[in-house]
Amino acid sequence: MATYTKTVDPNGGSDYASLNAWEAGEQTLYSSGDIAIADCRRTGAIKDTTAVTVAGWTTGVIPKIIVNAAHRHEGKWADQQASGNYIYKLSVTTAIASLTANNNLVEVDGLVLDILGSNSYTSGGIAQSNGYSGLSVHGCLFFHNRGDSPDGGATSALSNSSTITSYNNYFYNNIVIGYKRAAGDLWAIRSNYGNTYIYNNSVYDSNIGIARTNGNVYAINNLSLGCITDFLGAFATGSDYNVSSDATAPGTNKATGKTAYTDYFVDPANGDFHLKDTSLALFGLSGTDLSGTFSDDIDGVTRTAPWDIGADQYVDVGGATISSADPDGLTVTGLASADYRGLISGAPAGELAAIGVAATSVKGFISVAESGAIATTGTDATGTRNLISATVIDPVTVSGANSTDYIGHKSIAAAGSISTTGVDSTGVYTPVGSTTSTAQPGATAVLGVNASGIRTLISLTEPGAVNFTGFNAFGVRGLLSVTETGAIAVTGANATDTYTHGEWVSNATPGYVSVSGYDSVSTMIALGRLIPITRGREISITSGRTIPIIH
Amino acid sequence: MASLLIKAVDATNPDPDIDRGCYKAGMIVEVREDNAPRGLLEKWPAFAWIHVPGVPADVVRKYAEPEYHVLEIGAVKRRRRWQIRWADLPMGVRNKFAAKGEITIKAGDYSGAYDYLWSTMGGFFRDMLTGQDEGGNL
Repeated sequence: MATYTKTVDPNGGSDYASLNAWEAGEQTLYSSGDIAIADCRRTGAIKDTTAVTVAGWTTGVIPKIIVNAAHRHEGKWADQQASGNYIYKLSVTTAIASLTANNNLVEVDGLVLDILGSNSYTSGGIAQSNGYSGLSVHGCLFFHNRGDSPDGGATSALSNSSTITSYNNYFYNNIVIGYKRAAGDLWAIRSNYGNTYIYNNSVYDSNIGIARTNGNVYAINNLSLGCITDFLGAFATGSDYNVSSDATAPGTNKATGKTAYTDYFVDPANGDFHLKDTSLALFGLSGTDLSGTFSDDIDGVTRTAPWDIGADQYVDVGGATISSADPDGLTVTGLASADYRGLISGAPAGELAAIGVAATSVKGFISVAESGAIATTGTDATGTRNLISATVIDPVTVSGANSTDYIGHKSIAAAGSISTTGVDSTGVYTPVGSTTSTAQPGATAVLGVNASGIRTLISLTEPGAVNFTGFNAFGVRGLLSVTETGAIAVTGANATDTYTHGEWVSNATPGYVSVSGYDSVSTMIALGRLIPITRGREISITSGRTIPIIH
Repeated sequence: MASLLIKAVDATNPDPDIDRGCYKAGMIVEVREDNAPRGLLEKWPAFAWIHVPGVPADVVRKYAEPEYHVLEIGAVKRRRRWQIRWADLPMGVRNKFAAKGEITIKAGDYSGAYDYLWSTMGGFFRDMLTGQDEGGNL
């Protein structure tokens, strides 16, 4: 018993340029008990457009079609991964089925079937026929949506259409979308004979969602919504935990009449059928544990109790480098990769979702859009550094960016306050003329710098606080820390050439201002308008007069 | 413009029902455009290539279609309806395959270098459903 893996890539450079050629080349090379794997990749834009039939293999050999992780879909309709890698697709126009499994023990994992045919004789997805058994299809995406045709035939995206009894077919973690037409029947998932286990699939917007026409069909944890008929037929005892938009979901534990589709899925209009929340929250029903058969979801995420219904197991926090300590306190850490600069998006309150960054020049743009959530919108301009905008009350801390390219480090510690630390790198700067601002009332605004050599200039516009503007002198470095509302401490201005030139620092009541550290020989108060004030040592200033204090 | 990938050796199974699904030497596995990428294992002696540069791929794609069961929609009766009579090929053709793994056929308005005319080779393409050899032009 051995495993033989061959690579398949329609763009060349691999063992075979199509699944069909792999099947033709491998079908009788091995012995019973051996496993023959097609390791599917797509290193360029060319897709696999040839239908494949798996048949005639040496008895007992297990043919497996497995999409390589670097070219596997990410649980939604797309041509490329977020990384830019092309996703392996079987895009067939003219075959009765894109993939026909006329062989025992065929396994298909992670394949995208872009079903391009326009009638029942060219619209099949994966089909098993003629009495073969042991078909296992999981983690696959089936998309049709190619309009309809007038003929009245019937075909299926995923089916066991055997005319004699077949056994132990498993269809799980698949998504079937748009398998419909105006005339005739298109079946998203159908089992015609034998024992078929249909677990944790998501079906949407098809003629018939999940169907049993003959045999023992066990339907558990399935989501079938928006079909003319969501579930059809008499399912086997044990079928349970299914959800439908009509009243057809089989089982004792079920949810029916669920029609708020846009509330359930992330972006159904664009083929993203990830759940927006747990199935318990969305449908009032969790699935049952099927870990005796499989333990992950369509994305490869390990399912944990309670299991969600459908192909996707909802994950409230995504991304290996992002963690959330609690719903009101988000922590973004890591950024260890040389290329990764961080792009973070999260729609629901209290949640984070991380998605990749395609452009190498993106350095990160983080916007907090609502309470407890982070939404990120794109910045792909060359040279864009950190731009952080907080519009919420919840405290957010962004830290730990230690790569050589990292520019800037900002921490928002509490409502209405900002602390900026750590801007000590050689490359740290605020680009001349740029503007960084936050919009929250009572918070801060960071405005532009227009003089060469100035590194950091912060202006606070909070009511009752202070307003710093106009640091336009050469050599000013500046390190500003706002410690409380209405109070300012300016420290560390100890550089040799530190001085203020005809400018002023003032505070509004209540509160006080202390300016310290002017210990350099060349420090000066050019027009006598820089006034250190400390509580308990009040100094009265009369108009037109200044009192320099020597430390 | 078309290239035909041909199975050059028989695959067999002792079960006659399963053997119907096996590729036999001379069956056209698939049709690709001339410049389409190839796999590293798609070569002689397992496979052979027949190039027909003067003919669009869609014109010869019929040679790579299965023979379907008449009474059962979608069920494959024979792996390919068409098959090149491999054992009947002239020695010269077989020698060229053995030497290069491929031949070029002149058909259509192609005017470049070639090994054989379609009028010579077409007669070796047999419709296994009817038992008739190809007699038409490309």
